[in-house]
Amino acid sequence: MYLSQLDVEGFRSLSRVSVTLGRDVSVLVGENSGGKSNVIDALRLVTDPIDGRRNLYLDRDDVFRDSGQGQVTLRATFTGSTEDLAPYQHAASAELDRLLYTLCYTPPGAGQMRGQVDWVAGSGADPCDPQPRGRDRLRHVYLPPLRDAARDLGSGAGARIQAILDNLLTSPEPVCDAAGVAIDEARLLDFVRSRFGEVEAHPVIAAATGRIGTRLSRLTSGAYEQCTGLGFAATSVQALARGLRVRMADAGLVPREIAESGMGYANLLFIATVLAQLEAAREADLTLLLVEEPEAHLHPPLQALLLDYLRDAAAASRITPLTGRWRGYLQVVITSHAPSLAASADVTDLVVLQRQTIALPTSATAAPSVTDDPTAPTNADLVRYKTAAINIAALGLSDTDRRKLNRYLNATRSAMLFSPRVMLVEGIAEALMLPPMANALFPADSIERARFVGTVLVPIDGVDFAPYLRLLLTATDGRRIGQRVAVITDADLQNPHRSGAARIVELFGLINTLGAAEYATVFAATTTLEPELLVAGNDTAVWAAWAAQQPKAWKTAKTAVDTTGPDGRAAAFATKLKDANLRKGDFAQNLLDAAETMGAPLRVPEYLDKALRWLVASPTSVPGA
Amino acid sequence: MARRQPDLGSGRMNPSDLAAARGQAYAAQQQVVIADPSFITIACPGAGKTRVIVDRHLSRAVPVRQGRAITSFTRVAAAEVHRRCMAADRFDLIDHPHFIGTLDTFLWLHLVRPFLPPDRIWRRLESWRDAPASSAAFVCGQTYHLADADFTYDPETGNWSVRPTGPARWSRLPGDWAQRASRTRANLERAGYLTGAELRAHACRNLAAHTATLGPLLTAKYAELVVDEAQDCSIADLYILSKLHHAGLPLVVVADPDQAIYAFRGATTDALNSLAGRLDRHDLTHNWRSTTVICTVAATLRNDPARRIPDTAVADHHDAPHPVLIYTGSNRDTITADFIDYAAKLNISSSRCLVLAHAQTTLPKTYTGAATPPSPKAAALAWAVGIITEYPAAPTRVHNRARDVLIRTVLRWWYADADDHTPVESLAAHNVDPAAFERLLHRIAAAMPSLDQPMSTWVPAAAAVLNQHPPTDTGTRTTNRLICPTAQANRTARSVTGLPPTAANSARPRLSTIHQVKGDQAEAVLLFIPPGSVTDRTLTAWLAGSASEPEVAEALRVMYVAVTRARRLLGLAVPASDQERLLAHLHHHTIPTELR
Repeated sequence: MYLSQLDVEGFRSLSRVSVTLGRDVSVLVGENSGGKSNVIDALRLVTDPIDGRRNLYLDRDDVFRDSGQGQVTLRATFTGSTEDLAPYQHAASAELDRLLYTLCYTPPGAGQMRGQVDWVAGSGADPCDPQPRGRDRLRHVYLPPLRDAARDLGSGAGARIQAILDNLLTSPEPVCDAAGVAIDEARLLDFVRSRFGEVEAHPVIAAATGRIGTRLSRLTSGAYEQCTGLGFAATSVQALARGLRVRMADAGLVPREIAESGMGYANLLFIATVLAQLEAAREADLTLLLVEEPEAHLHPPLQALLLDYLRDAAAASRITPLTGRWRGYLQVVITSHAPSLAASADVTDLVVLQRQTIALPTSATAAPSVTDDPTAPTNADLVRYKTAAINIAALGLSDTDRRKLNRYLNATRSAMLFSPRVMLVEGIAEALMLPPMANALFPADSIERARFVGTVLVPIDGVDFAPYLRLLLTATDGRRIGQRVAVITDADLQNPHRSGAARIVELFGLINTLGAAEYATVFAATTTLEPELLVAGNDTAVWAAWAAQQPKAWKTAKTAVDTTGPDGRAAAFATKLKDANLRKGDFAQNLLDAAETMGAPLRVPEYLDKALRWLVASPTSVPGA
Repeated sequence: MARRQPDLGSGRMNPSDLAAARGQAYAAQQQVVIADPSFITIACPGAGKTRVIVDRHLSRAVPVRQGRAITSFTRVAAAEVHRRCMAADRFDLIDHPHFIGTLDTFLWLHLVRPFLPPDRIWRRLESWRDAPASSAAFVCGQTYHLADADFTYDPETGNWSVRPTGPARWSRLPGDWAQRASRTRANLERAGYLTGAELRAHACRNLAAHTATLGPLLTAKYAELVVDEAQDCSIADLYILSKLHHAGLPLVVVADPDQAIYAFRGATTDALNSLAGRLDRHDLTHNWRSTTVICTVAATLRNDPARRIPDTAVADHHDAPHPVLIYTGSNRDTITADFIDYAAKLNISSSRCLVLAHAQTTLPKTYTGAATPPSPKAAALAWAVGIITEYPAAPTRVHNRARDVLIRTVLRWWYADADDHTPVESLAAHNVDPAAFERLLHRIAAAMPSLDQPMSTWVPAAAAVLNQHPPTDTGTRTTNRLICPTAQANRTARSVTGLPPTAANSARPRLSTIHQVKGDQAEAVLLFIPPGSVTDRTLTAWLAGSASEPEVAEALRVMYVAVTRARRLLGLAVPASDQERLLAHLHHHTIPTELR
């Protein structure tokens, strides 16, 4: 059983959003203010906090103002086996294959103090929840961003540790002593009492008792004389758990107080105790583990480890659920703006959240217009934004695409999920050359420059653009991840096979098939990048770069190219370049170095000029409106 | 005048016999507590079946994620299970994943609610009486209310049948009455209103259409379904239970076929027997409620000759020798007063006396008031106020009716659309807090003028009270008026309502129709059996020991229910003409009697 879909209406930036969640792990990625925390808060509102102590409530400010609904509606859909869903059959959909729980919030009217929360179990034909206690078993643990794990582990840890101890003491497979005899609660407490007794009898403790005793005696002897003693709190598993502190250190060292460990490791330890408690307690059918921005404390390899661990923990919670106990399923939802974390997740576990700007009309009658340009000028009074969600799992990617993307999307390339503007290029050379070209084209402080800086430049190391395009441009509910996607590729017209040209036709075909002609286009070099740089007028820098790799041979090539007529120059250069087998990345670095040293302005080849200008132009259409 | 008969010889057990009998009683109860489902328990009256069901719930745990559904036909029975679980500090047993409530609510939750299309709001009604007044009335010669029609759904054919109830039963109905009633019912159902009958029709259809998914879901959800008072199951109920059982849901059915008094709703002992035939059986035949005398009387009323062995009385007072009091007079008020006096001598206070009759109209008026409101609106309001303020002992049904009249009068007074909605909907539509409205009703009832003044002054005074009590601060009243027919102007409000003068400070027993007191008990029970052909045939069948007509068999079961409510004292008020044969019958069974 898992929370398979969350439908939100009128909640903060979530005007109307559906988020599909994976059974084990979902990673909500997206730009800042994309609505990630709002989705997490919606999940916190539709499930019970694990300890029953709710500290998030809806209030009037949570209502999305421009929706006209004046209400918040949060609907959680739970999917699972017959056995999973059975206790909640009263909340089943008419098909009986999923559960529907809807929370409706009506804010207080003018002059009223509190709003109204209504729960609906089922389809809504009878708008109430006849068995509200059922929801107790659908819970969450919330780990906020930038948590003080050291404090959480210190004060709140008692209950967690107690749950783990209780579980060990009552388990059908108990902990045994060296002689193989099971240790139950009585034996543990006997041991604790005897050790406490030893401590209490220590001469220093006894002396301290004496000091207090003489004074107490003075104070009370006139009435009913009292005597005193120093001892540990009554021995119970609860008292023991409260007295224990979770400690940690590098393996091999003596564990120290948490406050002395790093923040990141303290967080991992916190998550480990929470999971151990969940496993021990099994009081719920489903527990959502909501982790906000784990990257805040963890360096990228630890992020990957954490994600991997949580995915395994969630998967493990689903293996052979015991009958006669609550299911104890774990489902993980993480928010992140770390490409490294996105890269570690399965691509279909990702949900991309974007902000859509809504320009409010100046007159009350005109309809608001929606643009997707995050850098469009904003006037706080007139413009707001709303959240759009794209569930990659819902894009219908083929298995081949999914597998390829999982391999392709490393930390660098995953960044394309975080920006509506993306440039897909073949290799490192383009990736290196494009930023200085944009600098050459767009003046500093210009909106175009800002837009280029907000663009994610993705070298795909090859020409397999199709999976990326399908990921960025497949629409779901009228929304696409990519809002402006430029593909830069080489037509390789000098190549007799003409494979480049065929590829470009295919790419255009793909974009059209996806209905994305407004959002994406292909810009092609007639030959390849380097010849185009040459003919664009960067001769000096180009030859200097070749010379850097082949201090002698470059002259032969130059002579041959120079003797070719202007029409064949690029093709001739391309052929020589291919034969020379130069390292393209180094070539680009050397070319830029040379241009900078010589102070020669970088001349932008025509196809890149067009590409850059298209990329930073204001969107002409109003997608998703 | 008193004609005492010898004590019932078999009534007194020696202490060791009593201990042995109680031992057997406990053992039989324990068997029901621990037995694996599915099974049926035929439980005699006073067998402690509610306690057995609660004990089973308390001590026979079900797997953690599963629940036990304990269903009954009345809210009172469900509340009793609730109360006993709470008394045992087992709050965990009264809520999800368990279910304790009426069978209607169980069907609603699991077999109806999930499948209702959310294109309209669906509402459950106790009866058509609660429907919007304007849509539940239909004209067919005169105006009838849908509450005067009783609908039954046949799960096998999917057909509805209808028959008149209440006042409509006695009138000559036009030929298209049934058709018009059915059309009105269908319209209300389309508008989203469901009474118990529609609920069952939906449940039957959904169960038939979704057995493959519902069966496994409910079987996983509930470890067992306990059905108390199963003898009251209608054909549709039994159809549903059989289907659920067939789908794998374990059943615990508790029934007393001798108390099956809803045959007119299609509950037949045949259908129950057919289900019972497929189940194991653990019977309870020890009676913790009644004296041996009463057990013996009850046994002679049973339809099945094989079951006419008296239950073993095991209560502390099992050997109380009080005779059955036989009344033959026609003044029901004096009979009731005498019965209360007699009970008082046995230290039974009037509040622990229960006066019963098959029909509301047979009950003594002094204590109940008139059972139904007069038709002029002003008189109906006076009646309602009278019942609410002066007749706390009136049957629940009468009180509910009076409350309904008062609620609707207030709503019509302030809201022009009051008759287009149910009262609950009206309150919601006009933003009236239900709790505040409840307080308002109490204030209105208390402020109403005395019924001892003439209608000509009572009506304006009552209208003034209504005016002074708007449901919300900003109400403007409708043009609705309280109209008093000129013919009534000089009569006192009390005489117009048909309410007798209050028997101030006089001892008040509880009064009820027999159908309303199922599962209940009282120290002393007085049963009125009115003259008439049904009574005649019923007594004949009783005394002859065989009832061939279903109607008569049902009447005997109703009498059986009445008699078995009594713990210590039983009184029977019969037509004088039947006195001799009744006494002879009781004497034949060596039952002590006293003619009053």
